[in-house]
Amino acid sequence: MLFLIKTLRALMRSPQGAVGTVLVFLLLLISVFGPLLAPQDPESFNFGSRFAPPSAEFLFGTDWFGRDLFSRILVGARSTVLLAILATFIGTASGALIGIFSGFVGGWVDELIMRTIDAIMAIPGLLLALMILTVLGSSSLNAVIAIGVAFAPGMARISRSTTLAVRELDYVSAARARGESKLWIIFAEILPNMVAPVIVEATIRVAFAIMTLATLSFLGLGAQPPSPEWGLMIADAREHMFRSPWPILAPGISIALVAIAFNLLGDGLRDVLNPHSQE
Amino acid sequence: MTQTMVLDIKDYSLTYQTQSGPIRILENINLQIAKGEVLGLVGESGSAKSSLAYSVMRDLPGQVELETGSMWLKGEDLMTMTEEELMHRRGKQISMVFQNAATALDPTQSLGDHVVETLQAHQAASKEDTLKRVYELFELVGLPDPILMANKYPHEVSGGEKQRVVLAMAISSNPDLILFDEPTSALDATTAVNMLDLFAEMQKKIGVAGLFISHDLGVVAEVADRVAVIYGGRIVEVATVDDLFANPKHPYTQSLLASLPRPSDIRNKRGLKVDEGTPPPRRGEVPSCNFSHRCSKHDPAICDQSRVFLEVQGDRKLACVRPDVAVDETQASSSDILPATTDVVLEVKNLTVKLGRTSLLDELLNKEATQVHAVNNIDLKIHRGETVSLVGESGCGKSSLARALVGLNSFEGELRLNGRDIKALDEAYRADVQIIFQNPDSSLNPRHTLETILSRAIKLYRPDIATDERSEAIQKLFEQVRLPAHYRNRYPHQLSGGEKQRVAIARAIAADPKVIICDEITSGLDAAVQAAIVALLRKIQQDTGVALLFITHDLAILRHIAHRTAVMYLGEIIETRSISGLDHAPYHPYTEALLSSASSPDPKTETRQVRLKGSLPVRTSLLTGCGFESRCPRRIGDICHEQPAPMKEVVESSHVLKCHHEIVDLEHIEPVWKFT
Amino acid sequence: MTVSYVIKRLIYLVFTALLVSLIVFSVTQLLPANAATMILGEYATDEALAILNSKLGLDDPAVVQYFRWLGNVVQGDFGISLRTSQPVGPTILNAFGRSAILAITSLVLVCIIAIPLGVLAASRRGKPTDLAVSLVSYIGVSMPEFVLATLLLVWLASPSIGLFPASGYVPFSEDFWGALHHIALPVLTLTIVLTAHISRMIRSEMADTLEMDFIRAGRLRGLSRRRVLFRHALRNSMLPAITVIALDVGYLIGGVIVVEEVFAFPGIGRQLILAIQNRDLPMIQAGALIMAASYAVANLLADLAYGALDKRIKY
Repeated sequence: MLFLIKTLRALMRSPQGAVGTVLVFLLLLISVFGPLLAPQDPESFNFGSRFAPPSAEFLFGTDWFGRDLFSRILVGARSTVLLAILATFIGTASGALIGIFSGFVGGWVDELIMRTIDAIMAIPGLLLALMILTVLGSSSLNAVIAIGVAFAPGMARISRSTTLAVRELDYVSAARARGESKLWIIFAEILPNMVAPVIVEATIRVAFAIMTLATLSFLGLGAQPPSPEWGLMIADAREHMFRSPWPILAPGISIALVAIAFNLLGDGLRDVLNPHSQE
Repeated sequence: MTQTMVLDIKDYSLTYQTQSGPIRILENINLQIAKGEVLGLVGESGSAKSSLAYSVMRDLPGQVELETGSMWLKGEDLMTMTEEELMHRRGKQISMVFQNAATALDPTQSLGDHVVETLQAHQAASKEDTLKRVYELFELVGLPDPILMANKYPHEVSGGEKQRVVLAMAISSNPDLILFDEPTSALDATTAVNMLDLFAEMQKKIGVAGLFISHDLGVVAEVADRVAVIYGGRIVEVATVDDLFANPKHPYTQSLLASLPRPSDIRNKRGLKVDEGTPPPRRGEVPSCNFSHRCSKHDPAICDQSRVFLEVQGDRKLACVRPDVAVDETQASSSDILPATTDVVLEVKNLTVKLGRTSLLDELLNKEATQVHAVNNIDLKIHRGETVSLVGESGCGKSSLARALVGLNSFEGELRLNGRDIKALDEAYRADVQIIFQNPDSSLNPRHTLETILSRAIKLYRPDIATDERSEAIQKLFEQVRLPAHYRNRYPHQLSGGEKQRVAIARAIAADPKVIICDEITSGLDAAVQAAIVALLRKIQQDTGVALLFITHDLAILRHIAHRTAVMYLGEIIETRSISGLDHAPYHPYTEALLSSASSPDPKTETRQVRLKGSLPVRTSLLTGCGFESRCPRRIGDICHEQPAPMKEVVESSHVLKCHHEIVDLEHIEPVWKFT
Repeated sequence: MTVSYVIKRLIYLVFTALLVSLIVFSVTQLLPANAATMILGEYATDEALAILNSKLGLDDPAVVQYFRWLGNVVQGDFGISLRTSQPVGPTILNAFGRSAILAITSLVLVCIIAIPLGVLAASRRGKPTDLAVSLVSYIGVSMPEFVLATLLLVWLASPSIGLFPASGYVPFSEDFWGALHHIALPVLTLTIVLTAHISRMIRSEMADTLEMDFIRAGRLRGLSRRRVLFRHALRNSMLPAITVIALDVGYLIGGVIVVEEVFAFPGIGRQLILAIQNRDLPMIQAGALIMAASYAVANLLADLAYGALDKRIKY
């Protein structure tokens, strides 16, 4: 807890950390309470005011059915942001476990796992996600799984190299010389010292996950209509794109803003959690 | 007077701004270096001695809060110069030799190009002339085959050769002043002495002035004319080398010298002073004298009246207002080491450690296995209550041996603990043989409290201690290593270097072991802290009869802890002898060179120079002859190359050495030290 | 760099390619519908399905099918498209060629723009230039290609402005300027996004290098700022930069898929999406395999370049 407060305080000291923290905090609020905050029903049609530009009534304007874009963004935040975090969590947790295990065990097991991971990583991330979705079928949840699986190898590689670095440190040698069990060494000696780099990487990956999730929905393989998922909103709006830019701008800027927020927070965390910067 | 000075620092102070407020780095520094003079600057870690060098170079890494005073280089004030003006002086008038040559060279540039670009930055000359000058310089700094050397890249040459290249760059433009920032601390002892010889020789040849920064008084004594002692950002004493060593006046200088081991210590039965003081305050109120918080003769009525400045007092400059009051000397530990017993605790026979693994693909490609024979067929015995020191330069295999003994490296050979044959390292063995690592920063898990660290060891090794008694046991451990009890909830990073090493010692003795392996545990510590750790280990040995295997590359400290020493070279123990006879021949030629390269801060001891050429070869295949043959100054001839050196007994079982020379011949060799 | 290093890398490449092909094949095997169903439609009789299955060899064990498929692939035979009944090979190779034009043009532009930008930002650390570059690249890395591409479409290709065509492709051999006109927007999208990525990486690599001792040592030898920056800092940052750029080729391939979809550009990405939507198995396999292979080759080239440039690597 104390560590959390200290980290937060240090984060607020750098401009990027502060902006990132505040933005991410707001976003999480919106994701959780979005539907309650929405001024209008996101699905109600207002044929009188189709393609309306932003105004007091419609903060971000309206789409081709006259639906309030602001409300749709607020409601859609949940299916974009929370699902992206879930996807990142799946990828990070499974990747980190594989990486630590592989790095700690070493030998031919390590070589086999890493070569396999190399091969999986030789498939570009989006392509891998597409292939997984081909098998699983298109849906938001399947997109989450696909992104999680696509993230796992990268995460595994990072945790493995961190494990190898930590493993060489004398306190792990000391534990081995002491005859500690493997479980203790992994969970008590190595894991706590890997949390920082993994958290930094995971935070930045949330930004990636958001963008990939929206991309998959855009390609028609993630969220299905009439969900107000942001990527899908843009895909649907393309038909009418030369009538009004707002149905594209509103979700587009939202996606970029969320990604920026997590990128900023990740970079801020990297500086704060870097052992060299700790006095 | 000012006109003749190469460097004249006048009342220079530097304060950095940090997140937790301003921090005083340097305070009221006054220093002069005359033409052709070498001034030594000595201080412990954190004394800001390197900061002073970078201030002179006008390259300040921190956020400057306040900078006052002036710095004159041959009559020009460096502090008012623009970056452009400085650029033309750096490397030309004033140059620098860095602590770590390995990182001071660009890995993507050849050694020759480094010097070429330095020359070209300061004077226009044709390409041929420049190259000719490079070869000249390489020859000057003792690099054989300059043309070949110029085409090599930093990773292809040894540490000593890199440092020579850095030196060549430093002298390339005939500077007025060279700043040496710990130029030998990253080098092995036998390489370091060669460098020191080279510095002295260069100095004589080109007559350049130098500022020689080091934490090691012995090293400074070798090269400097005068020595300035810096403590907590203030110069406390400046005197000639002889005056300073013979008669230190400042209580800090006295304490520093008293904690340094000397070659004459066994003869003179001199103990080391144990004074592990806290560093001086750098924030908040400015103390009158920054040593007062740990000074035994501090008298508020006299010392705290006004700021104590560096002033001329007799033959030197001194920052002390009570120099004639004697310091209480009772803190020195005794020099006597209790005799060891004759019961063998740990015994190894024909122990071999091979390092390096090969990947599956390499094997398929039929690549030659690159296994290094780190430890080769060694025998060693340690008795109860005995300290055996294992000495040798980096890469000689001493750490590989240590790691093998605690199960971190696999090995071949016999291992016996208390007469019991050890095939696989079981729990009982692990409890009985403990290890302490060199760097407590990495040997203590930064995410564990001291309590967790110690309770873990107790839980594993002391099933006799019930869970609810552990807290008490931890309490006792803290007392044994003299750490305050309230530290138990702290994390390692909240402790000083010496304190951390005490925690590591506590963890080792928690098991109540029979043997503790100390792997370079005092290197990297300041002299006073080293003396304290050594005193602590001796106390523990006295109380528990534990045997110590004390691994070190620092020969000076041996006399204060070890009973016997084993000298390692290229994975073999080439000599084993008792410490009490360390001052007398016969020596193995390598031991002789190693002993000679230990610097001595003692003006009354004269060290005979024995120098080695080249650097340690890597041992991938077993040599037919003697391992030391390629560098041996006493090489006999082909026999050294063709036949392995036999182990010979000098004194039955207590002094053996491995050499083709007859013992009688080695006995006639002059001793390494002459004491007056 | 030695011959054995190159051989070692080539062996890794073959190994990787085999594993990738295995993954691609397994994924398509896992599909709920098999080829026979796809061809004959949902209402085909079991009998007809069984006949076609045995004709296509689909009732053989998976291992046999894999090796048969692999054997054909090695000979350049990717099978017959289930959607168009045309051989997959020529179709996909044509599409690949068009995509390669997009990818390579973008990559070249990125290297020309991103490297100087990253160097500039790192050398002016904390100053307005750095902040401006960082800000722009933050926005760039946070903008998915499809958003940027769609916005570019709206702004630069709307009928009222009509600066660029909204979709399609013209071969360079037919109409050079028309072709250029058609690839402009896709290339612009890819270049902007990738430049943001790579300039950020270069900046951080440079910033790390600038902290190194030999940079300070160079400065204290009186070398000029320029020389320290370009001869020492940049040269040492280029090695990790090569790896970063190669890794970003993976990102670029993802970008190509999206951009082709947005601009209706008939490249390999669009073929793949089309194939996925129609469950055109041979086409999915071929598309995925070729994309993965080009990524693997990019990484191989980067590794070889690294090995040739870094004097420290000895294998």
